[in-house]
Amino acid sequence: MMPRQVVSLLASAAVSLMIPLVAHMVRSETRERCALDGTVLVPSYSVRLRTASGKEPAFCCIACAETWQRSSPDRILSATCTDEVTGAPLDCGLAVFARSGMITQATTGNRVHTFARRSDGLAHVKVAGGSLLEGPERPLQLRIAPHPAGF
Amino acid sequence: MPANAYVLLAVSGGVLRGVIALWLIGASVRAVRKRRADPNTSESAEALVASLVLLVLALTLCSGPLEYLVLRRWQTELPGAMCLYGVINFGHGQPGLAGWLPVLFETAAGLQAAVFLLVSSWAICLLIERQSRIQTTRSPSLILALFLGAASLAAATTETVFLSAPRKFSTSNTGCCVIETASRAQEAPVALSPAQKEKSWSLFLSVNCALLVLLFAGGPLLHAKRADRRNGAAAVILVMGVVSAVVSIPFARDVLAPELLGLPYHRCLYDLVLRMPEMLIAFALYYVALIALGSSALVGRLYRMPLEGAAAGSVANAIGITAHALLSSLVIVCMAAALEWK
Repeated sequence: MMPRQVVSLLASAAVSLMIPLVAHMVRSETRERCALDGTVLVPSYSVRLRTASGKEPAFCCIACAETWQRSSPDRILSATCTDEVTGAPLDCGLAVFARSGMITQATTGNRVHTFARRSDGLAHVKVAGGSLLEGPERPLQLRIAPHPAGF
Repeated sequence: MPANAYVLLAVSGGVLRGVIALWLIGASVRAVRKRRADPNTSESAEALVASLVLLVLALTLCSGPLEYLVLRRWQTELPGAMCLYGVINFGHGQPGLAGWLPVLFETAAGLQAAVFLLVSSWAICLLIERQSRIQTTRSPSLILALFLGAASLAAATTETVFLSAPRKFSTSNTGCCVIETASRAQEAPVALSPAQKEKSWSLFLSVNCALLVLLFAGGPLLHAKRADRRNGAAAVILVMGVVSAVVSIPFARDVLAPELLGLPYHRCLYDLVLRMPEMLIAFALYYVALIALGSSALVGRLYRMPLEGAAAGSVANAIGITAHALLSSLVIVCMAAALEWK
């Protein structure tokens, strides 16, 4: 290989090295995104999980959180949903869920809605159709795996 | 088929490409016959072939963005498709024509790459023929134009069938695009384990570094005087290029996209490019490297006589482009991975 070729190769490698560096510096991602599909989160539909490894992945809808929960080997310690009426966070175990004709996230087709009060859930079902989710139908029931150490 | 303006435009473009490809095949056959009869009278027929090749190239270049727009539109209509990868995978595992849709898409992409490879090889051969100024009865550029017509016809047909195939947008698909339905309650996307990722990284780097070394060692042999050496080098470089593509494309989809996006189940290269535009440069460079490599090997194999002077220079230039593009692409990928690793 000629010295000229080596120099030109090194030059192109140096220029290529700069491209991701510059892009990384310019890129400023401030919006929070769904940990499953990368969609920008809409605050009123977001769901947040807390795992045993200390992670707190956020999701754009219930469907994404459920998919992530099924596939992740990480233990889920808690799940926090958002009340669609007030936008306040609430424990998923205490939330009222309703499946209706209204889609919250076009890409996932999620139709499950979250409310803090049962009366809000019933009012939503009355307007958009569907029903409240009770018992085994409730999403995000924490299937907490036993700890490997036994405690 | 869910009809929209983009689909109609893309299908019309596919039909037009098919017609132009048929015309190119006819014009190439006519030019080859004229050339065999009398090399001095085939100039106008060859000019028509050159114009049609450029037209095929322009139409093929336009088809990519159009197809992207169609897929983007379908993404909003297809429940469960979180990204374009989901739209492409639509029909996976289903019976009938729907089950063949992902295969059709991949075949169309492969044929499109073949079209670019043949255009690039045709351009090198034309350059060599023009520079040698020797009118022979055998013209590799015309043979390549004939194959280009066939590849373009196949690509246009496959793409048109993919775009116009009937789809029932009521079922979901696989990969990163799993939706919550009663029948799929137990289905979950699969992420690669750290050991599998490490293995994929090692394989990707070792194969591409080996290809780089091979380009420096075997590249000059492509214009060696001995035909057996030339053919051997062309075959080895071509095989290594194919191995590189077979390793690198799944690597980009299954390892690079989830890692750089920070989404363990998300394998969409389109989303990766949208979020990190520098990856578009890396992918384009890798594509150029593969096309230049294939072209140099093909041209080295096509010419029976030893390549000398400008002809040898053309092949050496193609090898140089391959080496530069491949190295730059590897540097961008490694640097981006180092910066974005979570």
